[in-house]
Amino acid sequence: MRRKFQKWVESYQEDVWSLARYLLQDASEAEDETQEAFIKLWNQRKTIDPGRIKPWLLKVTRNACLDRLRRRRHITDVQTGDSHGPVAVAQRDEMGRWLKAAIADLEEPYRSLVVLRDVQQHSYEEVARITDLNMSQVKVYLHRARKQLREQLTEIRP
Amino acid sequence: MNNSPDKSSWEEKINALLDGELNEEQAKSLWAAAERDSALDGAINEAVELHRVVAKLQFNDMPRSLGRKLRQIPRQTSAHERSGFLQLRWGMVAATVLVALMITVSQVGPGEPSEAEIAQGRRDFNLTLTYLARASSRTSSQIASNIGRGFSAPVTRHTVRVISDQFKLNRE
Amino acid sequence: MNKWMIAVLTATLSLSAMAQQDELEELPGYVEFGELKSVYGEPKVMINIGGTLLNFMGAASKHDPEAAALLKNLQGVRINVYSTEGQTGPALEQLTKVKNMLQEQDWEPIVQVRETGEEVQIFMKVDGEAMQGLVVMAVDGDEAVFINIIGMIDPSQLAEVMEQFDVAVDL
Repeated sequence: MRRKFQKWVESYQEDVWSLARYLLQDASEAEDETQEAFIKLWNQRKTIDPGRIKPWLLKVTRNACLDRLRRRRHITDVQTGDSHGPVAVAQRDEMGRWLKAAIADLEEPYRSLVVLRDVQQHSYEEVARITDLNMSQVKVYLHRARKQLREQLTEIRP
Repeated sequence: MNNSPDKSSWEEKINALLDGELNEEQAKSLWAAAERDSALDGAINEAVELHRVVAKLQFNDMPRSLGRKLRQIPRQTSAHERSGFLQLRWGMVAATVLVALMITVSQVGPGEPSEAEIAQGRRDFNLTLTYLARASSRTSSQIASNIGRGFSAPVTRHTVRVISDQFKLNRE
Repeated sequence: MNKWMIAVLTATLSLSAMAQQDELEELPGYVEFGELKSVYGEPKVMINIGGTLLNFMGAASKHDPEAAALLKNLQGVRINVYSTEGQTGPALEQLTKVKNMLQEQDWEPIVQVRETGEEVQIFMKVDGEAMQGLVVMAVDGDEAVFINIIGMIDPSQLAEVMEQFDVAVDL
């Protein structure tokens, strides 16, 4: 079982880390949540369908990150500014960095959907399972999220 | 996109294109429309470019130390579980030994047995002697034939006296 | 009562009994009778009286100095009685094993009675002028009796004490 677990770590650690990183925008917190997700996986390894380890991990990670964000928002609402907004970020010269910030600024579930589907390239079916949405909801919300990103990009482009 | 039949339908087709859900014919149709509509063409190119960039936006800055920590989870978790199990087990052993010592000390330690225990001890001792006497009485005839009827007579009633006498004989 | 409590109590009682057993096993007059429980089930009588309780019993017999003296010198009294219900074979086999063991350990045979399906064996362990132990084994169609009296035994005292305890031969 330990060998299997090591394989799961090798295969999924980047996706879990990246999802946590996108959602939390904080490396230290993302590290905590990544660890927590894999600890849960180890503890519940006997009850999880081996064929669904990845969606299970990402779902656990996403839920934990959203919980953390809710708590954090409660504390830092007052400090929320526009530092990640398109105008401010437009002055940055890297498209990638801007996009990461733009994705981070999306509301849920748009943000998770973009990360899971467009960044991590999971199938619609997996995304639906991870986010507890049905397929048509995933498609509709994801299309809206993409549109928002394109519109923001249009705004900052000269 | 002014000539487009419906802007929202183009949006859907662009998304389907990004998701690889258009078949060859549908894709050809979309690109043909884009050739005729520069706005549509711009929208498609922008979406594809954005999609391509986003697809490369995985955070690749996971600390190496985190990878090591993740790989150590089974060992650490199992050690923790073992530690908890051992604590529980040793706790049970300690509790058992403690109670046993308390009872043992109360029974055979320096403390005085209760009157009830002494009375029970006398009953047990009496029962033991009864079995002793009974066993001895069975042997009385054998003893009588060995050492003489006269000697065996008192033995029949108190066979332990027979043992005593036999002991004396052995000593001689 | 939960299973842990039962386990603790069982272990406690076992440890307590083991403590007394261990105390007796060290004595030269102690004899191990072996295992008959698997054949006949739990013994109908099982008595283990340790030296401490015997001493207190002696101290409690103030009106009978002989009994007090005897009990004071006794270190242990053990008896196991099994119902044989006509099946004497295993008990006789065990009796023979113990008899052979006692002979190897220089116990002195006092009485040996053998009849069909019945046998009585009495052994003494002697050290100088005093007995260190007494073993009585009796098997018949009703019972298998194994008695072990441990300690410095004065046989004349024992006879007096039997009178004092008003022992009835018939059970």
